[in-house]
Amino acid sequence: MRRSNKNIIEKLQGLRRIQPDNGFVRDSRRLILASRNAPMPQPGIFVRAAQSLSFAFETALVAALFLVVILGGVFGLSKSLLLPPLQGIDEKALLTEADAINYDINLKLDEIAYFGNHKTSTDRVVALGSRGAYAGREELTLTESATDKEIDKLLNQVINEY
Amino acid sequence: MIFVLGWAAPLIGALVVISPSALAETPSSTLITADTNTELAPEEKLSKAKDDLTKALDLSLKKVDSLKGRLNELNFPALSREEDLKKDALKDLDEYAAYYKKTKTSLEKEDTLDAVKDLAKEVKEYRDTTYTPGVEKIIRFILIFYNEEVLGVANDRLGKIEADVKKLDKLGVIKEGDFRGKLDEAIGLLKEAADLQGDAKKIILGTASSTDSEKEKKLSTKDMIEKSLNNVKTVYDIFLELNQNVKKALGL
Repeated sequence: MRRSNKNIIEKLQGLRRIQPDNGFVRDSRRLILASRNAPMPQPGIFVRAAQSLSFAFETALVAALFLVVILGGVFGLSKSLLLPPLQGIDEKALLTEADAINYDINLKLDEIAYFGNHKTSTDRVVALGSRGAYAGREELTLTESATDKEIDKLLNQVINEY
Repeated sequence: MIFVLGWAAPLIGALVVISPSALAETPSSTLITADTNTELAPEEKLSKAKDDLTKALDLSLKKVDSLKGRLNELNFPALSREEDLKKDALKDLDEYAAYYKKTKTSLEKEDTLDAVKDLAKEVKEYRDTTYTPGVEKIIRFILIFYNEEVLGVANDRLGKIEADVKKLDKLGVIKEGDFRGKLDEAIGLLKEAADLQGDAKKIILGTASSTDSEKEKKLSTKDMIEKSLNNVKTVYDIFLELNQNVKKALGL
């Protein structure tokens, strides 16, 4: 047993001396050296064009998505800018005009009502007092009828209160 | 219980004494100051009464001036009926101003409370019988032309809104038919307002036919102007509604 172990060790040590065949070494070296300098196979023109188109398509797609996502809101807001100029339904001008006309007409209606409905200054002062309690319209302080209301009030004050 | 009744009795008594007619003839502000004024010394009462009457006369003169200003803003062709009426109105206003100025001079000389009160009664009477009917006529004259001007502005706006609706319909972004109902309503109201203003103008200028005069029997010029102006107010409500509806249709 001890002897056979010794043989095996000797044989294993002998393996270090094993070398390839000279022909194999020469062929292998030639193949390796030849493959290192060999040019990569070039793709055909159609393949290259397809690759280029694919890149352009991807870029365009990303750009389009960017526009849709980022500029979508801006486009929505600027929709009105894309419409033709609308003078009639221009909200700002219409609101200003409506407010001014409503205010002015209310003043005039107030004036007509003050003189038209109450013929004497006493009637007018009483109407002024009762209207103050429930008048939906704002009290008109600097108007023509306000001046007359004040005059009627002062006259009644002088006659009845002193 | 007796305590509560003791307080309530004079209160109920006071409510019974103050009749509804007395309340109606005295404005609420007067009721508050009445008690404080009775406590004033006689010379203080005289001074306050003179101050109040002077203020009333000053305001009357201011009002006359303001009406003259408003009349002078109206420009009519020379020798026209409108120009004649304007001149008459200005003459009347000069007379009112002369009366108020004369009364102010008289007031300065008064040295008793009774005299000041009598003068105030006289002014009140003058206003009720002469000034107010005259001013009422002048105001109607001024307002008939104001009404005409306001109708012009409203018709102008209607024209622009109609043009916008047609433009947007052509672009295919809205359908004119969706807004036709409101537009026709506005047109109808403005037409009625213009008819009323026209009738009132003829009556005020004295150029009304017998048919126009018949209309006045049903509706006074005051009512005509009032209705016409109220129509214009309603039309502007419709314009604002149209604006909102168009915006909604455009998705704005």
